[in-house]
Amino acid sequence: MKNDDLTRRRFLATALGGLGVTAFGGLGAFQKLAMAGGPEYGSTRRFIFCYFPGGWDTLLGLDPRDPAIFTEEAKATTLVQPAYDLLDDDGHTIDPAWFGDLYLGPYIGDLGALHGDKLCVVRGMSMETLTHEVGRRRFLTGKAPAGLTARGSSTATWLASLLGQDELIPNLSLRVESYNVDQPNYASGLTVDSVADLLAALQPGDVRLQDLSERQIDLLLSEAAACKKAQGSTLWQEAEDSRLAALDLVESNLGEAFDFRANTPEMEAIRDQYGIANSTAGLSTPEASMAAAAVAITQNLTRVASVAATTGLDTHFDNWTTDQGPGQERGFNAVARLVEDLSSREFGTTGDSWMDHTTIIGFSEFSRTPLINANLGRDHALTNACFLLGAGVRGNVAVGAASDVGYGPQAIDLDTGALDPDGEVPRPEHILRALMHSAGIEEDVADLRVEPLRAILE
Amino acid sequence: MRFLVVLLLAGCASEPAEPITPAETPAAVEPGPVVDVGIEGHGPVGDYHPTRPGPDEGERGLRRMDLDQLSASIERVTGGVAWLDPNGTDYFETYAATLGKPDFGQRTQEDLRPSALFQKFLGDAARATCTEAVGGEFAGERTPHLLGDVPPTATWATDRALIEGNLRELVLDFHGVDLPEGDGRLQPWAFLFESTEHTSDSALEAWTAVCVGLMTHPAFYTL
Repeated sequence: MKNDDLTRRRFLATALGGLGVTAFGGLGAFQKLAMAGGPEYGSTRRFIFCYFPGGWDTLLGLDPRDPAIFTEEAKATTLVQPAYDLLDDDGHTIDPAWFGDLYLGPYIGDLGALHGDKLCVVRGMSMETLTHEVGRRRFLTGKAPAGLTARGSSTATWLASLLGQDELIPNLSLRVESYNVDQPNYASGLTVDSVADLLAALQPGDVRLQDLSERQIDLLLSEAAACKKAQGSTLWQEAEDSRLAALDLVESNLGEAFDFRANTPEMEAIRDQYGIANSTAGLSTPEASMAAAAVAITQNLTRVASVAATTGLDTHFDNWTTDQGPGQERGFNAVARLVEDLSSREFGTTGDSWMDHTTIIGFSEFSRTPLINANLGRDHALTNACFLLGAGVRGNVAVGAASDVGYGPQAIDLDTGALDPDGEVPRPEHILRALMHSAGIEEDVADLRVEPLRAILE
Repeated sequence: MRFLVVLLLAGCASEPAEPITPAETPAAVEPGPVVDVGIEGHGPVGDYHPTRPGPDEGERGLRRMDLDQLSASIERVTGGVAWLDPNGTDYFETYAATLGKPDFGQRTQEDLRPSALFQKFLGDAARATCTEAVGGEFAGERTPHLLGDVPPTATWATDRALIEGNLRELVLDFHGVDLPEGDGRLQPWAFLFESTEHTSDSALEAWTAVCVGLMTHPAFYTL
């Protein structure tokens, strides 16, 4: 379903260009240059950001510790308390395990067991915050927010801007925030709360006027937006751009591709693959969001997708014993299903799979304290980890490490990933810069002001 | 097609005769001489004149309504018609999270971008509420509000003055702009009515189109 047609958006861009309207009005010359250079990247790369909301306990997933060494008796010295024995395991294994060269926690799920060979884990990162919104926005933009306000555009927006001019929905976001402060409107995230809402956005409304009447209204609004007063308003121009984009979405008749409730063999296969219940409620699950991301990517509708992979990780109380592990595992398993799906689909007629052209990034806003609190839970900790897999990323490798005493961030050599007191503590911007670098965007267009973490790249 | 061509030609002719704002001030004033103040004897350091205002500067920029304001406004202009699903649930509540309404858990500030999703759902809301409101008035099931004093039987050919008068009322109601008689800014709306009535042969369709056009115009959903 490649969209080679002259869409309204492209028509508008052409028309505005003819009228002398600057689509990038208000941007600096450097940014204009960066955007003008978009097509030259020519990358086939796709990206899927998988967000684990609430703050994950990395001791249960990406960065565990051996409970035989990090014992209760040793916690006064190590300041690390895996506390696996306190988990309400319900028959689940509570021991970390080796997957090749990766030592992963008991709730890594199928991501470790089935795809550990592709997995790259970055450990010992610093989020420099204990606030959900700040950590989340730091990872999305690569910049420390001003207060709670995101500074700069999301990396997903940048990537959509630079690589996604030809996709109908360059930047799709399911239950993940998206920011666009300095990129063209087409790169703004189409942010929906559920697949059901995405369906509603893609399908015609229940009521429609006669075709000619609709066309008269369309022309009136287009003409109004072309007048001098409207051209002087960035909001009006954005509104008109968005109105045309919305019409494009509906006219493209994409709704069927995301109607996972449909009783068709194709939709049944998707439900089976991702474990989606055939109900309206099933469309509001992280698994449905993951499936929607896969559909959007593999049908060439989207260049960058962002998905909330799970729910309920903010476990300050004894819900840590019951919810934290299963919550993480649910997200890791959803990512595993995504990897299988992308790996099974051929990328055009290249013989490659979609996974060969897609990079997946899993992150949370921060991790949780290495010591159990008085409520049998864990609070916020600024040390973090994240994972990547897919195109351009090394497999079965851990980069960096949280310290064995206190579980704190540690400086590393950005090129090798080895601990290096003279190196830098890895932060989200190092990873985001590396992602862009791996897609051929070598200059620091997003002004992240760090070097890429090359140690994660092939 | 004839109507479409005329509309294209007519569009900007209806620009309001508003006072020139700083944002629209032509670049006619020559800058004064560069003042060489120097820095510690290092000579000229540049032009100290302030940068000319950008297009949105110098006047209050447009700001999109939030969802509560929009929902209330739609009910107000349609004479009490809300955008409801068959179960009576407000669609603006159903789509609140997707449309960026704060839940004060994950989100504390409302997303006021006129995004593609906002435009899609605004368009759906406009078509649903306008169809219900105008249809109800035509059927005599609702107290005349959008139609004002115009009878359902009125046509552009026979009742032009009456229709133009009501269009002025609607522009005032929807956009807060009080157009005097003969003001060119009414022209696009008059033309929308006339052309839609012509192509559909239905005054009901024409009034519905006018209602949808007014509601999806930025002047309605911005402050």
